[in-house]
Amino acid sequence: MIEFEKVTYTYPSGVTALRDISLSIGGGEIVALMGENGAGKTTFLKLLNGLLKPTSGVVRVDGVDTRTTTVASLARLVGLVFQNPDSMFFCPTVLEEVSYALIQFGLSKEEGAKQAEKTLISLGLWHLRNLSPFTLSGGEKKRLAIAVVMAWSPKYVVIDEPTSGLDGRGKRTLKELLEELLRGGKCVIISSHDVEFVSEVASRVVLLRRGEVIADGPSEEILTNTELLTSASLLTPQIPALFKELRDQGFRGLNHRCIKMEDALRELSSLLGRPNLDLRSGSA
Amino acid sequence: MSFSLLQSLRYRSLETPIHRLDPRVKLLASLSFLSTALLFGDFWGGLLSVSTAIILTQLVLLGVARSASYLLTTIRGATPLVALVFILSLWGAWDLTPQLVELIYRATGSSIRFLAFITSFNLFFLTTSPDEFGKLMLKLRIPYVYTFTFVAAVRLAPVIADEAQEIINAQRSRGVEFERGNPVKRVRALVGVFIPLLVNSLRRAYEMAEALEVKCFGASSRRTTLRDIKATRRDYKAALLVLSITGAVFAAKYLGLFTGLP
Repeated sequence: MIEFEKVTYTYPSGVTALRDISLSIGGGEIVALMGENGAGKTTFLKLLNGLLKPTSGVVRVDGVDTRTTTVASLARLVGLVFQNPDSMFFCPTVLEEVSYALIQFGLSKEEGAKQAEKTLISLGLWHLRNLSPFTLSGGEKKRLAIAVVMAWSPKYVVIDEPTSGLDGRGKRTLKELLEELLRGGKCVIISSHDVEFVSEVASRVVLLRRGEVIADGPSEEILTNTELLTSASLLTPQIPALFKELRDQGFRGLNHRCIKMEDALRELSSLLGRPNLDLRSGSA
Repeated sequence: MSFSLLQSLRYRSLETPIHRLDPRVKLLASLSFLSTALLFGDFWGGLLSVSTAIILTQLVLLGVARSASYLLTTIRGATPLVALVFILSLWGAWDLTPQLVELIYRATGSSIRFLAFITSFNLFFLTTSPDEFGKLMLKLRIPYVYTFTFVAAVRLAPVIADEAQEIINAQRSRGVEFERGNPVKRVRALVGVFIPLLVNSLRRAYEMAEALEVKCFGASSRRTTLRDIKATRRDYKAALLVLSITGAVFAAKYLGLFTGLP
């Protein structure tokens, strides 16, 4: 369990990035931190693994106060993937890049390489093992950055702007990866502006504005509240926007909490009076 | 580990009398600080020295420019280097001066003098925008290509410092501990910072070169500027004040008013 208790963070320049934040994040959920640029999302993420220590208040990770421990020891619990994967890479090959942190955490070279191999295979990156990380595409770099963190299997996986620079295929792969992590019992925390991606993967949304939490709840509740999203400079995802439009046109029976594609297709099939209709193929 | 030394030289856009001064006057003042610190290294010593006076003068001027805290950041960032100078001074003069008090006095003087060197251009960099800097270099008849290169480098220094900090954070998040272990282990840990920093800097330089090509950089050899720097009556007065004080201090030295160690 990660707990924020009245957390405020002020940068040395005097800018207060987070104000009086109190919330807790448990296991088995994908939590999305959303908000405009400068809302405090990245600061929030850096507080999770102790890179930043709260100016006031307490951040606890599984009961450990982040002020009293080192980043290295917190990193075993909280794996942080940076927005720019290039910040993380420096080894000559992908395989060495993944095994590096494992060796830092005390594994022998052989054990590290074995674990790295397992991680690369599970993330579909094994064929890239001998390449330099700097020569990979944007999507591959992002996956490698996640692989680097996943290698030591932290309980909490934190990803800053996971979809930045990713194309459609990259986003699909990432979505599957996050779902895989969730099935593996991990708690995933992402920060993102990408409402479409968040509506597909997150079970909970924390909305930040100017360093304060303005909403925290199930994604179905937050991502269908246009006013709330607009106040945080975010767009409404397409499915809730379409359903709102349809409801305004007189289609009253539509679920106003629908955000996922599969649910939307089911709703629309029932609306057409043909619940067994497969809207993807058009066949009954 | 931080890059506070570089960060503290970052220009902050503020409206103060010091910021409004002609950059040539600020350059003159910084050169005056530097030359005075150079010339008066052998006089006085300990905490009471010309170098201390230089640092305090900068502190007052940067106070007027609402940037005094950045000078303190520079001093804090330079502390390990200053400590090194102190130790080397002590070690170097160990055989020459038998008295420990005098030795410490001399080493303190050298350390503060070194600090005065490091901080001598704080006033200039903190209160002069890169644009003004470029115009100043053009006024000094330095070719535009070199002026641009230098200004771009100055502009990018804080960006690179930010990036270096981000890379350090990324490596710490992977379990790298920069402050622990023997010196060899610490240096090896830094490889993880310098390689991505170098790669990212080269990539940035390449992208910048491409952007400049796209914007037709160098297409015209004759350049004009929309805004030129022009000295006002106030700037002349400030320049006169700087020259008078520096001249007086130099004259005092040659007249023998400054004696050796008290």
